[in-house]
Amino acid sequence: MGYSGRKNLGARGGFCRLFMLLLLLSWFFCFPQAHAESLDQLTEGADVIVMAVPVQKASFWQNGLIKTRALLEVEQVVFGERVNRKIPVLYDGGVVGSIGLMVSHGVFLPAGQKVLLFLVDRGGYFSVYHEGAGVFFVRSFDGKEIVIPAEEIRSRPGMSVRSLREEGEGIPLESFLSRVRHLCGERP
Amino acid sequence: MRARLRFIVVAGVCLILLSGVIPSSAGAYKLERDDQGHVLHWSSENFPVPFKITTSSPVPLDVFSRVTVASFGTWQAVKKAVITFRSDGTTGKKTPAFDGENCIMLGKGVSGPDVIGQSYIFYSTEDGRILDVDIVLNSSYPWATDGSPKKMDVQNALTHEIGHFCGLDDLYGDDDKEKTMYGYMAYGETKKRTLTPDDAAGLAAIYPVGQSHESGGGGGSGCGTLSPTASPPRGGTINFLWIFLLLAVLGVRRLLRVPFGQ
Repeated sequence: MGYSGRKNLGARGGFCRLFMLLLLLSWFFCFPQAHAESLDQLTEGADVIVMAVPVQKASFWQNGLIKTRALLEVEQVVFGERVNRKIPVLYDGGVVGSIGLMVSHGVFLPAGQKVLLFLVDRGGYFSVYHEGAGVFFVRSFDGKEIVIPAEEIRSRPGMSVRSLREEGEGIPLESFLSRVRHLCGERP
Repeated sequence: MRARLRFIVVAGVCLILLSGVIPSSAGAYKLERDDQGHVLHWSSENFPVPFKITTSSPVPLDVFSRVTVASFGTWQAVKKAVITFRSDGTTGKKTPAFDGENCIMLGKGVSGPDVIGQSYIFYSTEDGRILDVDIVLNSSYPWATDGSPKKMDVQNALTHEIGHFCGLDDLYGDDDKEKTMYGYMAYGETKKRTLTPDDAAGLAAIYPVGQSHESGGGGGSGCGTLSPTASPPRGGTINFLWIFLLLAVLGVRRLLRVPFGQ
């Protein structure tokens, strides 16, 4: 006996298509999306946008707060002029002796982690525009470089199944940079 | 026979994709941890944890005091957690500092321009014990307590920041948007005033009933019991799973009715 007819086969195919569609929809809704809406604001507010690696960090007390001065080695200047090869970035938070300061929504710059930063020139040093939201990690995943908002992976200890998935969902670096450059080009 | 093979392949692909959806539901809450993995927490010796409000408040002082107490009360009311707070009056303090006073204040220029509120958490690097927390609401924003659509709601922001005060971290997943610890807030938003079960579970993970909290409810030891991605059941993804299961059952039934080639 052969196939019972095209009608049944079509129904099964329709079911499969519906199933696949729902799976794809669920995929879309279950994963965090990039915060593209804030990229315009970040680009507009930053004096300098660089891709850099923190090579040195030092924390100290100042006016009752612990601050950290990170020295970053600039790999690429995406936007801005007269940017040195090494730049200092100052932010709240850090550890001095046995006391630490953690600032919610604050800047998080692990040493050695390549980052894309939206910076404000404070004359002598830089601060991160929009605090923690102005930091993006640049990581290698599956042979390509991707960009992940630092706020979304901060304080995540180690690599979990979830974080691996999110890494895979990161924005390709080149796409991210071309979007930023496009937005920079629109600046007055 | 080819149809059977095709169905098996499609079903296999669906199962693989489905298995990928399940782990994405992790991340019900996240705990603040230091670089060494200590969970930030208040020691029970500090209970009730005292707090003061600043006299330069975003709304009339009596209203500010009332909503601040209500915001702390929301966390204190979590049944499966033990942490208590105490209002300690007012202070003239204007900037966050390590001074032994936990203050709720209004500040300008302390936070970034688009940061609505921030918590400054001082802790011991030895065990993650919280020593001092100051919460700063950004004075650049208009504030209200009635959910006005063009203003930021004080209680909404404070309830979120008090989550940090207790040791909870921000969440940024699409399926976290209804939670108090979701890291973004909008004008007129009030939903963060009320905790979701995941927010409460996060607090209970740090301050479980019937245990002292000298090491963050056990998380300070780094063992797996306080995983920051521990995941009680959640609505959104679970609903999707039910849909898939239903469809799978329907599919199998349909398959059984349709004769394959021999």
